Amino acid sequence: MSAVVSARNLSKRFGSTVAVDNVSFEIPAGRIVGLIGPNGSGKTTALKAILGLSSYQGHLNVLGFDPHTQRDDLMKEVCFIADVAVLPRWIKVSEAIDFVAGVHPKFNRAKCEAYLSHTKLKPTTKVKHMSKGMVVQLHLALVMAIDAKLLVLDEPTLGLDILYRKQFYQNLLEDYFDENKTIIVTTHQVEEIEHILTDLMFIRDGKIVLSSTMDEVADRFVEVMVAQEHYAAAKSMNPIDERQVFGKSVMLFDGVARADLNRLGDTRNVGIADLFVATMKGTYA
Amino acid sequence: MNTMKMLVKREYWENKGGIFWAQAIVGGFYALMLVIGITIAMFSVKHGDGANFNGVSVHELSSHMTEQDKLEAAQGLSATYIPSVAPLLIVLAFVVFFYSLSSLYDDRKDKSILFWKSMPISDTQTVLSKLFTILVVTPVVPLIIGLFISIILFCTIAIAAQTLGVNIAGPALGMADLYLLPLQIFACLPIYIIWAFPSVAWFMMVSAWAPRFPILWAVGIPVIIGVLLSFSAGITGINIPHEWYWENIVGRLFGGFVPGVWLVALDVTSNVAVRDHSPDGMDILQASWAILGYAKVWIAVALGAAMTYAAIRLRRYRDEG
Repeated sequence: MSAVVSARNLSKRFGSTVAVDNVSFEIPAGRIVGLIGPNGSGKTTALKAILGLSSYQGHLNVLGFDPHTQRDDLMKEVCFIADVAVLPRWIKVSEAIDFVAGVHPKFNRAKCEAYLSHTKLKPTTKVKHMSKGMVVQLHLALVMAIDAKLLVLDEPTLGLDILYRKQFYQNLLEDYFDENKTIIVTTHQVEEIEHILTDLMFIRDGKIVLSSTMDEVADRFVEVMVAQEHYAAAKSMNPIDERQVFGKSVMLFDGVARADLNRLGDTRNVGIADLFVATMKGTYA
Repeated sequence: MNTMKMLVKREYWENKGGIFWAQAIVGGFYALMLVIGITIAMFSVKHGDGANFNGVSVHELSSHMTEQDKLEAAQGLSATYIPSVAPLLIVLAFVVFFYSLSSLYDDRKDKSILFWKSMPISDTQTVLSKLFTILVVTPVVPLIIGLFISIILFCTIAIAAQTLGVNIAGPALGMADLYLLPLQIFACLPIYIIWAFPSVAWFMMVSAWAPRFPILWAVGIPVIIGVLLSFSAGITGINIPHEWYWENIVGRLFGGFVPGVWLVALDVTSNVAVRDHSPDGMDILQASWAILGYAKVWIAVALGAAMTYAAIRLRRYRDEG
């Protein structure tokens, strides 16, 4: 199947600052892609370009549309949550549902109301009287009832407590996602989305420094708790990262056969958070 | 598709405070004041304190009124729609002013624009739905509430007059003006839409663009240009048409929000056939529609269309950080 998002030499400058620097990538259908990067790395800028919210240089194709010039067509197939606090403060739950039902041909009102029946939200509640978590529940119920081909979530859980965050991703995976849908998600809470992702993309200073499936990541990156006697040998195999845990060295290897590593000590798959920290070392230096 | 209907509904939900409640509250308060005022006046007349009205002491009203006096009183009663709707039209000017100013700015400020933009709605539809609500929905409300007030006013005056022994309600009910006047004022609505459109479009364009405080930009830019022109004219002595600017740009811009200003600003009344009686609803209607014969009205409409287009482009392509 053809790519849902395909970018070639995509760039975006704000004055002299380069936010996205000549990147190329493809996102196939039916994937959940984590776009992970430090603050100011260009994540949001890239997503805004994909959503047709800002201009860019280079070539970008989303579901067959040019997002900048064909945004109106694109938005029939794409939905997004840009930030947690973007629902208008004056709107009531019932009005929000009526509105989306009125303008979105792919909105399923019954589905939305079913989601909301599991929450404390009442039809007459106004957004300004909701807690941050309740706003997200409403926004999520609205968005998950839309049968969009591409869903973009930019920091959807920012500022939410862990209960809401867990529930959010669980709903997303269990009720929304299927093989015809594609989800792109950015977050700083990388550990929490680790288990739902199929693909991983690291972005740093506007460049994509890692782009692979989660299976490839597991094959490629191995963490070893190196036994003391093998320290020198391990060091000679060029670990990309080294840290100390309880006086022992934990080294991260990229592309070294697991059989070789097993001889150095206990091996395990690396967590995204650790991989991220290793990859992004020196970002703020 | 009923997208446009939904968008207008959305506008009403967000702005019903200005569109409806401001008018309903002012109208309700005004009607109450009228009823109390008329009742007090009636009792003071009835109990012989008297009040001087047009040189006639009104406690002698019924006995001294000629048939001609009664006819004129009934004619006055048949025109209650004008005083009923007038204060609401002043409120309308303020509502349209502030509504236009916030229309494309508020959702940028609170970032809810990102929610609206996540829906399959074009920016043209968004801007046009706001324009429609401001220019068509908003002005209809005071015209209708004015109708209710005029009914209250009519009944109160009629009862008060009856209590004083004068029947003016009967003759008034038989007068065509009673029914025609609201229709004639309603028929001026298209003129208000055409008249207000350029001002609203300027405010909406600024609203779509302003980084902060749209009111300062929308009001400040034309006023500062005017001050600079006047200053330059004063200092250099060069014949800069600053007076023309103040009248035709600044005056027109802010006068654009107020219903009826066109009658004064364009001096249309002089072009309408002078008739041999005091001005009535038909005169207002004719004079209002006569503004369509003025080139500058259409130049302003063309500018309004250009600014609306600019507002749509700004809404579509303005990078929000």
